[in-house]
Amino acid sequence: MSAVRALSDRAVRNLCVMPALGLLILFNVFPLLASFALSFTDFNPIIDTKPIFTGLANYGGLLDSPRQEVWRAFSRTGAMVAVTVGLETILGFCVALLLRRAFKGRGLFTAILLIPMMLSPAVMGSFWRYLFNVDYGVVDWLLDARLAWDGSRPLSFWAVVIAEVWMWTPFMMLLSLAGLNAIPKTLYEAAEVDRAGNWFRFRHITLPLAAPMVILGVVFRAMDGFRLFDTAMVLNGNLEGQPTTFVSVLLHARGFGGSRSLGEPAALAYLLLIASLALASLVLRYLDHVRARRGASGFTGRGA
Amino acid sequence: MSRASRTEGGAFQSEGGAWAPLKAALLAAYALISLAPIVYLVLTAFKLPTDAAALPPRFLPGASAPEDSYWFRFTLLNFRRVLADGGTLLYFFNSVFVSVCSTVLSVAAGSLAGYGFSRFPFRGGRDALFFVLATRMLPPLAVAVPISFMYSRLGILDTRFGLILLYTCFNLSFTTWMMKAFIDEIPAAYEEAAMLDGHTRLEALLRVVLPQAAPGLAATAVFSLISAWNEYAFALTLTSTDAVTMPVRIHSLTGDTGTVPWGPLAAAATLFLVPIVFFGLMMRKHLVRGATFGAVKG
Repeated sequence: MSAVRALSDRAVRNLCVMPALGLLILFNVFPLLASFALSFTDFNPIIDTKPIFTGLANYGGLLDSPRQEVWRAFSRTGAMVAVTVGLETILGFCVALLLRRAFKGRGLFTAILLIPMMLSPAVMGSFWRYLFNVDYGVVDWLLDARLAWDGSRPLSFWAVVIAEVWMWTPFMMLLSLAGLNAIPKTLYEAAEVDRAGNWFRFRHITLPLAAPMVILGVVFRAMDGFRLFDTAMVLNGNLEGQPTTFVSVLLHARGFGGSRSLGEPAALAYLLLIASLALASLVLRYLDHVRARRGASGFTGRGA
Repeated sequence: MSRASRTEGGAFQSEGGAWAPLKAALLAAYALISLAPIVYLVLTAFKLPTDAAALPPRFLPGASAPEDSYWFRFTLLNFRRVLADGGTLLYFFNSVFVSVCSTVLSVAAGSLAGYGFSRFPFRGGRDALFFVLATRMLPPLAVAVPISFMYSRLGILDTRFGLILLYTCFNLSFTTWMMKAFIDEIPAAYEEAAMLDGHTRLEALLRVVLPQAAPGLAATAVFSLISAWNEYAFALTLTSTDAVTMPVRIHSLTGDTGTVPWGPLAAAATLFLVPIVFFGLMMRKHLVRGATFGAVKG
């Protein structure tokens, strides 16, 4: 044991941190470097010949392809994230407001409302296909219409939105509830003394004080939304040019769709990575700003 | 900070008590809409193909299914079919084995890393932490291409081992951040006292810090297990026969065209959902606490 005892703090720290960092580097940095290298070549794993350096051809090909599929995939993804995260936030916040009052069995009721977010998007998505079926689907029956929710019609976009909002509203509800419950009761008592109206209390106490938690939820959901793959793939496959061909779906279509070179998908992965990193760091910075205004420790800052 | 659970049981001021019945009705409506797809999934698992493809939809289990009614004939045939298929059992085992092993590993490595980052602030530590978080932002498919290539060279493509390694990694950023946040809340004085009593730092970590962090550990484990259990993109690209997990298998039942066996699909999905929903409801306190640790900390 004396050998262990003699370990310096530095050694213990390395012992603690290195396994995690090592794994993350092996599984993230190495593949990223590899795909960075691949993105400048015409490497094809099926033919498996020596990769030939093609310069920026893959990037150029992606950006000026005649159908502009890449730009459209990015704008579709942005639209989908805006719509789903917006709906989830509004719905989740409203449900949290309703759940705020204590009632008997609230804990269990809240937990039951969380069930959708415990389920696999791929598995529930497969079942949504059944619910959206044009011949015998319950959704069309409820709407008393005969709508096809898949294929190249715009409705397939909304099928993904519905499935995503259904699954993730509970998450926003949970975070909103946490934000609401952290508001000190004394603020409302003070407002009571000042005879502030309901709307004033909501506008000037509830909303601003619950906001940081809600924004945190929006960050997580948006980060997940930009890489959304499961739901779209399961509901509408990975064909190009569909309303559900989001960036990750396009990446899958080009990377695993046939015997083409891996260079182009690698280049696309890089474009997506740059876009999402830029967006994430912007939003995290904004969150730090919101939190700093409230005097709480920042999200990226060190707590201790 | 207070460790009392803030969402369960606590009494809060009422805003507009007169609206209570309306609020209750709205909540009930939301719960109904939210749970309806799951209830319908479970019902479909007990239907024969003709009932599953019938309109109007059949909601009521019964002994017989008259034409144009809401009744369907209750059958266990789908479950029997799904369980008789040896593949299903293998894929179910794969899902359980891969998600449990990867959760244990990622929580272990994440706790160590969280402890390291929490107790030994060092130059570049902040950057390292941001790097850890950034790995979470990568789209799985951005790393799947080179990883599938790397795995095929190493000969671990389509193995449970390969999936466990990968799932451990993708949960690691989450477990590290969560465990750091929880360990930050535990005073360093506790383990210093233990070390003064002659324990080594590792003993202090195992016997003092981790027991203190147990609620956080549970919350972290719940979330890791849920995301590993449900993972699809990596499993789809990195497995083909031996290491296929249930989400991939269940979706593959839908095929591309033709008639989909909705009954067996629903039965397989039901079998797949039961353990995680049961686990989630059992651990509901940790689920709530885990998702909200940021608020409690602020």
